Amino acid sequence: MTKKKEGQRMHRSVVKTRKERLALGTKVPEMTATSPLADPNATKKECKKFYERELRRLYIELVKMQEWVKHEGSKLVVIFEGRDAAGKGGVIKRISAPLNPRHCRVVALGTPSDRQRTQWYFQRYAAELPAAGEMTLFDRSWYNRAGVERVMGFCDDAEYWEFLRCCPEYERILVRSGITLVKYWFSVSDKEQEHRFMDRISDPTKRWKLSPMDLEGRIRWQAYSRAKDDMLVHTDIDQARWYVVNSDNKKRAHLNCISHLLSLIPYKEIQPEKIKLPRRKPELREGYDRPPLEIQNFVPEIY
Amino acid sequence: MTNHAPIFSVNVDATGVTIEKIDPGHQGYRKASKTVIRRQRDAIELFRKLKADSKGFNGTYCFNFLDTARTFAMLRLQEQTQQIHDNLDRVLAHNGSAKPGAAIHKWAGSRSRVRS
Repeated sequence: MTKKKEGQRMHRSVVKTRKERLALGTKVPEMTATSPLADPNATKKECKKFYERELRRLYIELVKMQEWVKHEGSKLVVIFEGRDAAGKGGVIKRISAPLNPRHCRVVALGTPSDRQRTQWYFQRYAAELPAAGEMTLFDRSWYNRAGVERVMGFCDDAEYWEFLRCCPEYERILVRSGITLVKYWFSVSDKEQEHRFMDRISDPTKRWKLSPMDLEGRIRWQAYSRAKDDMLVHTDIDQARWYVVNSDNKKRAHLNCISHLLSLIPYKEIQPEKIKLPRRKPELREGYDRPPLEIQNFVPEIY
Repeated sequence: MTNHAPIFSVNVDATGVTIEKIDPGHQGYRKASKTVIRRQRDAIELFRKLKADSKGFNGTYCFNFLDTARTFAMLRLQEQTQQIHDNLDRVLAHNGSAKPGAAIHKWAGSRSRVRS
């Protein structure tokens, strides 16, 4: 056997075909072409065109998934965690963009109130969990305790260890109650985070994204790394695994994360019933005259 | 590591996990200090290695810091707890047939899909 043929045979034994992977139960979203995003020689225009086309295709899949979730009465929780400027918000924006906001909610809780501070730690998050047919995207979640609160000293040692003890049990209960829980960690490099912070400082439309806490987090980079390592190892359970998204390249992170999420949900296309626009009943219009337009406050049409 | 720092020894056996502090000069300190694990990351790696290994966790492991020792001990105990919960799930899902119940088959199927 020639070296080339042997190499091909070995490659085939390791890399399973799409058919084989489907047989194993893994859904593989089809990519329409090889990704220029991973090609260093690809032009910006090529990358943009590819990104927009793929995103459009994934949007359609997301809508199918939402229809399936609604139809099956499933409950889906997706947690997005990561350092500041890691790109969590960008992915959440892309996932929620094509979906019905009634069925797909984004939850980004702020600092707890004095009353909430006295409650069970998971209580304010539990209130946001989805009902049947809904998806909830958590832009940061109960993992605040193992991340920012631990690093900044907003919780004491006992509270931290109690969280690490409770969290896997809490998540197991959620999964047992019928919730599908998916957890993503957005991994951003030191250099890329610095670049994004500088961008936020210089761009007035992005300045609101930057808080003193972000800068403090940057100072404590290594403490964050340590907290992240601990968090991932303590809370990576079979029922709810952590998936790490390399987010140094935003476009790749968006596509990779969405296609991975789609691959985890065993959705099928739900054929909608045929819709026929009803005719207006002329008798219902009787006796109605539209009031003069001058009495309504119209927005000036300056464009 | 200085010779004045205490060492935290984690003992894993069939009955459970215990943490013990060994002060310098006490019996076993010299032996323990030779195999002491300093970094949290190494403790995590050790846990992963032992988990993947079929030989089990039983033994004594020494750590430089209490947090690191606690992490290792907790990971081991959580692993045990998880096994018990999975076992409990299987027992509760058993529908009386000779083979495990259909519900757990469904759950295991979805799990393998997620993991692959």
